[in-house]
Amino acid sequence: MEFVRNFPLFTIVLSLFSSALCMMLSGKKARNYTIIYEVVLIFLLAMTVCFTNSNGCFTYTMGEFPAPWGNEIRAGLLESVIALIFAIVLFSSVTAGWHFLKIDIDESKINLYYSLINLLTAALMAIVWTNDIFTGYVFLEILTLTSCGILIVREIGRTTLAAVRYMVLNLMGSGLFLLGVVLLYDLSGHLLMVPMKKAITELAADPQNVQVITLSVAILTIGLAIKSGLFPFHFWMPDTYGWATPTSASILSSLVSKGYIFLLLKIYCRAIGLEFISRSGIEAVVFVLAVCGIIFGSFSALYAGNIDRMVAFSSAAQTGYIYMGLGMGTIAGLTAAIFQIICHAVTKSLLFLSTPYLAEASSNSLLFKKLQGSAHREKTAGFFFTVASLSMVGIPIFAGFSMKVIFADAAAGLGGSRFLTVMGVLAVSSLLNAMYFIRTIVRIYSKSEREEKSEDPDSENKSENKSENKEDNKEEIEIDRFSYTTAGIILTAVNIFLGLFSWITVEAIVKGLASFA
Amino acid sequence: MDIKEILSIILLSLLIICAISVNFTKKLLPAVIIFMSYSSLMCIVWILMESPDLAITEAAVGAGISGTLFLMTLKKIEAEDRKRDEENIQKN
Amino acid sequence: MKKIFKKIKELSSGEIMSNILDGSTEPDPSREQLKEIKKETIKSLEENPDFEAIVERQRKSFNLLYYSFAFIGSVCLIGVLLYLVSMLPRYGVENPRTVEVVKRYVENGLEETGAVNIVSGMILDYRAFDTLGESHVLFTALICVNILLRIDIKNMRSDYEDYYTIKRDVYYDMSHDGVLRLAAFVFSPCILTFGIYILLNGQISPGGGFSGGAVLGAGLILMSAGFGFDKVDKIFTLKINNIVTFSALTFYSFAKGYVFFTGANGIENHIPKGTPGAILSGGLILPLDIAVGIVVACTMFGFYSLFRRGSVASHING
Repeated sequence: MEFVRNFPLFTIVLSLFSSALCMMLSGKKARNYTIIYEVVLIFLLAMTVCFTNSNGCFTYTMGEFPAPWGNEIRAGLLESVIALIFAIVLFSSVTAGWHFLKIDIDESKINLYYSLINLLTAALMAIVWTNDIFTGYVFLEILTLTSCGILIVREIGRTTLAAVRYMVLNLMGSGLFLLGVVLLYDLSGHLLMVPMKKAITELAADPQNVQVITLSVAILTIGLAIKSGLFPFHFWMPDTYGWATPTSASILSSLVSKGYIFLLLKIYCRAIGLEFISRSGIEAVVFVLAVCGIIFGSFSALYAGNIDRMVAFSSAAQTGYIYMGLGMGTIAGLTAAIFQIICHAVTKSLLFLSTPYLAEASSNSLLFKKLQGSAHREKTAGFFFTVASLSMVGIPIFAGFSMKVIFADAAAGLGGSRFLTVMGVLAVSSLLNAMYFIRTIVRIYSKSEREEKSEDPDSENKSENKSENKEDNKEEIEIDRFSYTTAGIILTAVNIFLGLFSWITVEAIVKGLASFA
Repeated sequence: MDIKEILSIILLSLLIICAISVNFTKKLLPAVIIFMSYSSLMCIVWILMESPDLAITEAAVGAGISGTLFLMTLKKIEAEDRKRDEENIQKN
Repeated sequence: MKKIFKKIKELSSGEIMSNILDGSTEPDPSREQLKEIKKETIKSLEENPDFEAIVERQRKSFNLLYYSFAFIGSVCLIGVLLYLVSMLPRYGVENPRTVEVVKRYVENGLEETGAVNIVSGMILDYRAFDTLGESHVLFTALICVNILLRIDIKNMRSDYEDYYTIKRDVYYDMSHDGVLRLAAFVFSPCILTFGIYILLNGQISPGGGFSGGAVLGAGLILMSAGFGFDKVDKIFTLKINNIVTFSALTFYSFAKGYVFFTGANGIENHIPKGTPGAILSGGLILPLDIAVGIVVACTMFGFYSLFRRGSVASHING
């Protein structure tokens, strides 16, 4: 048996070991170790992608006992591609956000922060590879706790408020998810996904049981919807993403929410079966909520006063796209949803990593009126912000455009009213996205009149900032700047690859979905 | 109905009463104590369901450690004993 | 019409009561600034009674909405759960579907895992991956509490707040309560012995890693509450805590990683199963129990210590 088959196990176990190790090391050593480990992780995952592309999916028993009695994980092309994208975004976020991490976090707690990030990596990898619904719950718990941890590490008052709110809502979601898992286990008698699907299909033949199974699946869905930000439960997003340190904000918005949605997708395809979901009406409800989410999110982003809140609300809208793809019920819809997961992960992290640099150049303020002209003060951040915003709007070279085309393509397979709804929503939300993103781009690139008249107020601000940061070495600032630029270039490259060569990704997703169920 | 069923019914109704009354007490200290008694009742319910592992863990963690941690939190946030603490420190 | 539009705008941006939070990333105002803001707000409220009425009305309508939603939500959830539980298979009656998995655990559990206690065999042998995750959940909680509550004595400002907290905890260090001291003197040896007994007998009698570790942790808490932190600090320094937690977790990850690796690749893992009923039986169950128990005990005592005085072990020893 080839050695590559062990790589999924290695990703999980090595991440768990790294977290214990980072607790023992001191601040800077923990960071260097984490960055090296993530490069190794990307390498392992790239080899897994190549292997599953040529050999198809394989299951890997965890222990000596086979399927329904022991645990197992499963690696296919789809899981490997998503794990690889997660690893790339994680690497970029960790490298790019170091500059602000030093300022936001107490020096003695930096190694604890990296320990949490390694635990988050382990939990994400386990959720992607798992084939068992209870293992999914255990690592979902780890994901919840670590995401609250990476929020609360920044010690200003507003972050603590936002983190407590996020934690209470997340724990409620975990509780509902566990209730759903327990009910499904009691009905079907299995915790592994493939035997569970067989048992549930047998049960669902009896019309008495259909209602019970539908309610259990609905409770499970509501639990995961609270955690990932579907329409009525998206109100925690602006505070959480707005007040977190940039690495945490980008990891939370691009990776953690997508991990939850991927787990939901896996449960729908592998543990319950898509025919049952469409038959029972859960799909229709998810579709309606997703459409409302897109529209409400876009409207709220229009009225936001502060750039991080605007980006967070647009996050709620983009999550609505993913759920809309899930709610379409066809394989084409699922392909569109997964493509949007990849696309959004790459774009949103770039946005959250660039806005703090813009704010830092405008006397540490995120308000729109202060950010005027900031792209001229910070050329790299302005450039990356523009690239990411154009991708969100849907300009042709970038990934957002391919995403919208794929959605329209998937909608063409549906009939009547759903097709019209999807097309209408795509049009309206693109218009709204254009309104608030292009308005922001124009604002950050246009110099205000005050600036053009006299340079004095600005240079005063600049000198204040510089005197505060004089303690840092000029060399350190150069290295931080260089790592931010590298991370930005990597994410932009993936974005443009998704935009120009989208058929490669779509073919991989379709091939992976065929063996996913 | 044999004794096990009667005992189960009594315990479960006590559980419901505990759970509702935690919400409606005005002060925090009695609420924590009712929470600890909820854990102890749950421990006995586990024994009735023939799972002693869960009973040991529930007794140690629910009634013991998490109750202690709650009381510790109450001590840290109650500011009204501050004057008494200051006097005591000045005395010693 | 304008009012409705305004209300939609308020509701959609989620800022009904939190107008203050929309702002810059400036640091929080200091104590003196907060006092000033409070004085100004009270003055403006007194001068402008309309403002107070508006805030009161907003708060009342928000409360009404909130309580009614909460009530309706809870009643719906209770109703749905009661209905679902009534439709599930009965407790104690053999359900033909559940039997498939459980039958093998009950019948073949003893010979396949070597543990008399089937529950321990199941959580540490059949479904060991979940237990690996669960012990790391506890570790995560310890890190989060460390982040929140740890006071770093080197960076501590001689601020009145922190100094007072530490001094107050030093005063309450040794218990001046006779009952507590006597109880700790009599009970803590018994509790610690009982905890070690539960740990070591995980595979023979009910108990195992988590229960044993929780009882051990409770014993350590009782000891430090009764005798003061000095006595416990002699055996439990920060270095010991870190090394013990790190080695226990690493041992667990790599031992289980080895078992998964050999199991999936079809290689024989040479772990002896021993005779059932003896202490050294059950393959890897005994070492794993000890590892999990140690992590849980250190975590529980660490929580208590962090809550009481802001660091897992003594400030003096580091």
